Amino acid sequence: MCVKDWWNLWQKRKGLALAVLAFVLGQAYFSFKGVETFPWLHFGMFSAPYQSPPEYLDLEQGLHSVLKELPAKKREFVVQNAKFWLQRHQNETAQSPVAEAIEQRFPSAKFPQVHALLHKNLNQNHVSSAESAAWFYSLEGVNSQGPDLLLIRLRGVGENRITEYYTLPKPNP
Amino acid sequence: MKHGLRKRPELFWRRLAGFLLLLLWFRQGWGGVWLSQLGSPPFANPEADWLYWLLQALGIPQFFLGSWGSWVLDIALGLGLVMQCFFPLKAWVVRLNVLSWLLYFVSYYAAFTMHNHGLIGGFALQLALSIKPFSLGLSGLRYYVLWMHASALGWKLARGTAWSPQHALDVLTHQQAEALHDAGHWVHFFLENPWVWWIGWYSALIWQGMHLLGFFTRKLDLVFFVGLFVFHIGNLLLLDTTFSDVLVVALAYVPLAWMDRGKTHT
Repeated sequence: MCVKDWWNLWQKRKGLALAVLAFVLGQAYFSFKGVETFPWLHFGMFSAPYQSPPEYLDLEQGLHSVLKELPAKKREFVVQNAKFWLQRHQNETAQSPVAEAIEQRFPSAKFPQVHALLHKNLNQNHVSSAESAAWFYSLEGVNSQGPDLLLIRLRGVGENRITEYYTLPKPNP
Repeated sequence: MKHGLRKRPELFWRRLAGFLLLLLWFRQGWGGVWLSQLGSPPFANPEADWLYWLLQALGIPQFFLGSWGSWVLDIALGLGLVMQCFFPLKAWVVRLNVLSWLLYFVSYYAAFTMHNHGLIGGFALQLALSIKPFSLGLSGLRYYVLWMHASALGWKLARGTAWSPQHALDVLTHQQAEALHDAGHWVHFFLENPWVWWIGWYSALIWQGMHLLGFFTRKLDLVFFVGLFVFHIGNLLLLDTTFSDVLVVALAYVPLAWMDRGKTHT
C-alpha cells in the first residue's frame, strides 16, 4: 500500500514525493549514525541504555520541597533544568557537547564567522552558574529574600544510597 | 452540493484539530509551562539538532523565551487556535498555527534542555491539515505516526535494549526512582513480580513493531488507534512521562475511513 500511495503521489506531486523519499532516506541514514539530527526523526521511547544507577532530584529551601508545590509539567521542567545546571556545575571547565558539535560541524579554522555566531547563540557556557541559579530563586514557592539558600538534593536509590547537596548561590540584590 | 460535501470533512477535522490543540494548549498553561510562565529561563539547549541550531542561531527561541516575546507567542497560539475553530476553512489561519506551534515546541524544548518531542504531534497534525488535497495530508500523517512508533522499536533493536529484560526494569526504576523509597508504593509490586512488567513491556514492543504492517494495510488501524491511547496513557501513569502530548495524532487513524465513505456518497 505504501509503495502504491507513494507512486500515486509521484504521479500527482513530484516535489512532495521527493520530499517524502528524502525523509525516509534521511531517517535511515541518521538512525544508522545514531544521532538526533532533526526533531521529527527521533522517537527512541526509552531505547537508550542507562549508564548510571537510578537517582532523583529535589529542590529544597529550609525544610520544604519547592518542587512539590509546582504543577507536574512545571516540576518536570524545573527538574530537567536543575539537572542541566548540575551537569554544567560539575564540569565547568569541560567543553559542552554543543561546543564540541559546533567545532566538528563548523571548525573555527575553516568557518571563523559562522563558528563565532553559533558559539554565541548555541553554546551555553557563557551563562554562568550564578546567573542561571538566579532563575531558580525566581520560581514560585521560593523565598528569595529569606535567609535560607536553595539546595539541589540528589538522592541515589538501591545500592547507590548516597545523598548529595548542591547550593544554588543567591542572586545579587 | 458536491462541493459542499467535499469540504465538509475538511471543515470538521480542522475544527476538531483546533479544539483538541486548544485543550492541549490550555493543559500546558494549567501545567505552568506556557512560555510566559517560564520566567525567561537561562538555558536553551539545541542539542545536535539542525532545526534548533538554525532557529537559535537566528535568535528566535531566545526572543520567544524573553519577557514580552513569550507573551506574543502564547497569545498568537491561543488566538490562532480559537480562530481555527471558528474559521476552519481559512488556509492562512491553519498555516499560521503550523508556524506558531513549530516555534512554540522548539522554544519550549530548547528551554526544557532535553528534546522530548511529544508536542510534535500537534505540529504534524496541523501540517497535515494545511496540505491540499486534504486526504493526502492525512495519509501522510498516518504514515508518519506509523513511522514514529515503528522506529521506536528500531532504535531499541539498534541499541540492543529490546532484548534486555534488565533494561525493561531499569526504565521503571529510573522513572520511579523517588517511589522506590516508599515501601507501600505500587512500583514494588512490579519489582517483586517482574514478569508482570515484562508482559507489559514486551507487549508494547510488539505493538510498536506491528506498525510496520500498517505501511501495507489499513486493517490494523483500530488496533493502532486503541493501542495509542493504552500505550501513551500507560506511559503517563506508570512512567510519569509527558509524551502523551502526542496523542492528538490519533486522528490520523480515524478520518480516512470517514473520508472514503464520504467519497462513495458524492
